[in-house]
Amino acid sequence: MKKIAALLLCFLLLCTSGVTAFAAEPEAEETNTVISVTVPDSHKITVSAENAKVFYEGVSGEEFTVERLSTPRLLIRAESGKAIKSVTLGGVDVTALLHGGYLDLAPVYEDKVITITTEDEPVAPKDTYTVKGKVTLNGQPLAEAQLELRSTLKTTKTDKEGNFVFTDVEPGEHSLTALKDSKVIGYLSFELKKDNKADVALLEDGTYTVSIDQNGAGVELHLVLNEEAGTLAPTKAVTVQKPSTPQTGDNTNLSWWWLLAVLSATCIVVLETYRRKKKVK
Amino acid sequence: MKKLFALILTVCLLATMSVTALAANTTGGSTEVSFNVDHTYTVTIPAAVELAKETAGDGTVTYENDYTIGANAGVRLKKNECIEVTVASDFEMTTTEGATLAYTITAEGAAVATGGVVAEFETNKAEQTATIHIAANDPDYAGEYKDTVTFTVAVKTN
Amino acid sequence: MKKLFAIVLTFALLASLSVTAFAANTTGGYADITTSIAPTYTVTIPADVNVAFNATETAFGTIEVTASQIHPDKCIKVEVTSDGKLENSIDATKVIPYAIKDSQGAAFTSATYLTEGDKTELSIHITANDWNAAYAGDYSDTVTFTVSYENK
Repeated sequence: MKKIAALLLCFLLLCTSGVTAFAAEPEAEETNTVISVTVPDSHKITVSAENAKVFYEGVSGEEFTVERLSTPRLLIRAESGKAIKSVTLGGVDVTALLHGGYLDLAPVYEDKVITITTEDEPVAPKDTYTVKGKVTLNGQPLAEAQLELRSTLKTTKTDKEGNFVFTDVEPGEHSLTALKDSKVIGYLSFELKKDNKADVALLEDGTYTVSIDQNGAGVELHLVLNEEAGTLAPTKAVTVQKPSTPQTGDNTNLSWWWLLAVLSATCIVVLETYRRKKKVK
Repeated sequence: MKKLFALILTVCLLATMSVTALAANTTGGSTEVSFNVDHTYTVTIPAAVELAKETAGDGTVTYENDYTIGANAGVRLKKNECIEVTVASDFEMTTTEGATLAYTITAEGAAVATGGVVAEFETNKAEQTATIHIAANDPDYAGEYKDTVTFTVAVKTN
Repeated sequence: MKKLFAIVLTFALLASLSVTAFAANTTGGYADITTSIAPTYTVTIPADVNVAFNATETAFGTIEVTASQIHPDKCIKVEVTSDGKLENSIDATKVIPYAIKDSQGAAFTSATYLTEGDKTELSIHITANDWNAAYAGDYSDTVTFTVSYENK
């Protein structure tokens, strides 16, 4: 009985004891945020140049749109009487990277400004020569191509056989541009130099030295057009001989001419003296 | 021994017995009559009150509730006496983490200090109640806030 | 006879004894005053952001506790998880790495906050080299902010 009473008492005690109810803690929450970016697919190259032109894909302009991360090839050509002094790209001097007048850009990842400065070309000596030759493309003559020779601008057109002639060309720095339908297809930067023989040499900077036999009338070149690279490469140089009969202003073999003149004069004197003696007799 | 016990019992009996006083044909006399009625009252003090969240129109949050102290029907006191219920408190709830929350007790519109009167009851055949109001501001911390107050009931002469 | 008389007397005595009955008057009591306040907090996190091309540092927004009523021994933890790479929408192999940093320039992965007004300003960093190598196209990445209630 006592035990039952004690048990009942305990039960009642449990029923009435208060249970502490705690407030539920917040659950963890996740939220997503998106970061987005658009990278453009092209960039602009803006040209700032005086007395020079920049060509891209054969076309000159003041602004070019190039594909992002592409490596465009630009042709930088000074106008007549001028020479390229410096080229900067995005503020960085890249003059040393010019190769035969071409500037190959590193992968383009932003808009850039190309700035070109020029200077006057040195005064050339008075001797002039004939520069002639033949232009071929893939072994075939390049006919009806416009050719422009600078520094002093001279223009001509190749004939059906791809032949061309420039006269009165002064030794010094020159550029030769080949165009088809007004679009530059080839370019050659070279120095015309007086030497003992005709020769062609490629320099480290991509330009050529074309040597002229100073005793000849000029040089004949074989120019190979590489359309993909946009280059005109001289592969052969042959001296253009002077004509055999003396021409006006021809100062060669002068001593022989003096000897002939003296001989002729002596013959005239002897013959006249003989005639006079005969008359007296 | 037995005689002594019998004697004592008899004396006690005589002392407690009411004796009918028959009026004699006498001309006068006086008798003192008295009896004693003691205080009787029961005051009910609820064991707990939980403050509930209230949000005012301006968004102010408070925690408050009413607390009723009652007196049973048939409070019986001497004339000019009343029952006074006073409260002792530090007026601060705390949590197990140590956060504190001050509160006020208001009786009949006036704040009550510790030792102050929260209810008064008088002789009345009917039940009596007194309601006090407990209120606290919105605290900085969350938690289970608790405080224990002590109510003292005493009879006071007006 | 005497015994009987004694017993009767005793009973009579007992029956007639008036006993003073005292009332059980209340002297006082205790009452528990309680209230339960559940923890609440509001945390604002950065919204979607578009990074300008070539920007090496872009403001990402602020993690800020705008309302807080929490236990004294607790804190609000905000954790950031991401791949750290913006992925091209067409070619998933093309990515642009990025980093999320706080105002001190330190890489941000998580922080704890206690009171209203606590905040962290975030920024998104992409190096110039990573920009320069990025292929054209649209890129994106999802950053997950996890807000939880933790012990201090």
